Formats: sequence, C-alpha cells, structure tokens
Amino acid sequence: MNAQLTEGWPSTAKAAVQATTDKYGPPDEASPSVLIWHHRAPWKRVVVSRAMVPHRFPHAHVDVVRHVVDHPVPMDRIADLARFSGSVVYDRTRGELSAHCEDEEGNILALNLAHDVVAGGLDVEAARRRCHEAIETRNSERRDPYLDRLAFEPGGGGADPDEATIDGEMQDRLRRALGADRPA
Amino acid sequence: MTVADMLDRVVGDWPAEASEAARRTAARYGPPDEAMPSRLVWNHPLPWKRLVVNRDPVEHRFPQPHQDRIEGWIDLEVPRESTADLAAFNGSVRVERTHGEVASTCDVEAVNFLAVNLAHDLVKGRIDVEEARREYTEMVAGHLMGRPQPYTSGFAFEPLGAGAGTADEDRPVAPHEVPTVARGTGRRA
Repeated sequence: MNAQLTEGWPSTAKAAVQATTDKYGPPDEASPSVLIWHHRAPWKRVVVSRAMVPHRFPHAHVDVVRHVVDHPVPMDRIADLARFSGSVVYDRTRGELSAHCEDEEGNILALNLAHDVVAGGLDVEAARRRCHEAIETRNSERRDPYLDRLAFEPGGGGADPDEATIDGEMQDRLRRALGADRPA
Repeated sequence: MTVADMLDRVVGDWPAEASEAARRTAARYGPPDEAMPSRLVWNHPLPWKRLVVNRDPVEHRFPQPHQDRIEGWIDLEVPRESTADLAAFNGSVRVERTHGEVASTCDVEAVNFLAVNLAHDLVKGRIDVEEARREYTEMVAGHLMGRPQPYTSGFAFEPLGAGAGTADEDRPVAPHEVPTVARGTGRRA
C-alpha cells in the first residue's frame, strides 16, 4: 500500500515512511505530500512529508519526519529552546513539542535534549554538543541511550489557551467609537 | 463533480464550524489541493504559501474565546532571538525556523492576516510584545464590530517567494573529522 502512497517521493522520504510503517503499521491518513500516524505511543502523532528540508545541525541531513508529543514549555524557556535547534518546534496553544529530522532516533535525541533544556535547565551549548556527540555514537558500542527512547514521560497539561483581552469595557468603547450605539 | 459536491463528500461529517471554514476557504481559493480525513490543504493560495483547514478544533482564548481551525503559512525569516517574543505575543503563531516558515492559526482568515502582520512588525522591531498584544486585541475587536482595517484585509508587507532565503539550516557544532589513512603505512594520519 505504501508504495502507491509514496510513488514519486524522494528515497529519503520513502525510507522514513518504510521505517515508520515497519514500527507502527500503516498510516491513518494520507495525501500526495504527507502521511500521518496518530497516537502511536509514545508519540501523539508522526508525520512524514514528501518535501525535505535541508538542515545542518548537528550534521548535514534533511528533515523529513516529525514526531510530536504533548510537553509544556515555560515561557521563559522558549528562547533557549529556539537556540538549541530550529527543527524543534513548540506549539504553545496546543502544548505540543515536536522534532523534525531524518529518522526517529534523531527526533528522540532532539526531544530528550529539548526536555533537558526546558525542564532541567541544561545549558544550550552543552545540549548542542551532546547532540553532535550522540549522533557520532550511532553505530558504536558506546551508543548514547538518548538515541533509543524518550527519557521523560510525555504528558498533557501543556496546552496554553492564553486569556481573553477583549472585555466588555473594550466592546463598549469600540461601539461608542464606531457610533454603533446611535439610534438607527 | 462540483466543488460543493467534493466538499460535501470530504467534510460532510466534520463539525459544522469546521465544514463552514472549509467551504469559506474553497469559495475564495477554489477546491483544496489535498484532502485527508482531518485536514484540507491549499498550496499557494496567494498571498499565502499554504492554507490548512483542520477538522479538530484547538481552544484559544486570546483575544477572545474561539477555536483555532484555519492555518495560514508564509515564508518569513525569524531570528532565533525573536522566537520567544512571537510565542509571547500569540501562542497560535508557530515558527518553523529551519524551514523559514511561520503559521498563524485562528478561526477566520482575516485574523490570521492580522496575526502575521503583527508578527512581522514584531520581528522587524516596529513594536514590542505588549504593543503587539494590545494592537491585536483592538484590531480583532474592530474586526468583530465590522470595521474594515488594512491589517485584517491582507499582508501589510510583501511576502517573500520560495527560495528567498528565509530558511535557517543552522550549522554543525564542529566540523566532522574524518580519519584518513596515511598512504603506505596502514596507520591513521
């Protein structure tokens, strides 16, 4: 089935689809440019895209698969998260944290380090260094365990709907400014 | 098959607000380019780079309670030091720095224009976070009162096209050191 879904896709994207299907079964949704798997523990969502995004951290590769978890990020940690990696994205309203890389182990590593940065206060440069070093251990006996599984428990409660700032007083003020309360 | 028939087939079982958002978007930009059970996608519906209408809502209360359903994407370079400001301005503005894209998600397209315009002002340093939140609040209120405003009618800046250099590929932490073998010695140089 996947061969039809990914006909004409680049080989790296096809490889990501195959690896995801091997591990989690067929996708739940498909379009010509995207395949989506929902609720494949520990992931809230896995998305493989036909489009590939060049990324050079921690080494040159293409971002093609995104893994999403629920994870709160305090406002005062967002700047450090952005400095850590441009391919780790926080969706504040949804409370979702995602990593976008070439394969799952790269995303597991990025999310483990992102968690350490936002929840454990890990220094950004130290996180970037470990990311680089961990990738170097991929095929060695001293393989970094951060590549293999999430070292934290993803969880809800991170959604931040923010607060209403249009109050009744503002609506009254605008109505007066617009003359909307004048008799017709 | 007409666009209306196609939409009936794809979003017929969506919640009423979601199917209405899909129909409004199709009325303006034509049929979607991609359809999945949970989302419809329009590619290059100018001036947007991409529009996505989602079946499933996300609760958002700023500046007034509503449900985020429509994502509007553009190419925009966001320096890493501005990412936190954008998140503080509006949690429904999302930055894909590697890709060089920014999205705003809301319940109507006009307010997505507004959010992206103010995000652009924030990134360019014209306003700060508090000013952005105040202007957003006042302009959404004005929009709700039916007052036409440039910031809710389209982009107040010229969106960049593909390949305009908004992507940030970052750089390796250190150059890869590839061991080389000294010729004739069998030993690594």
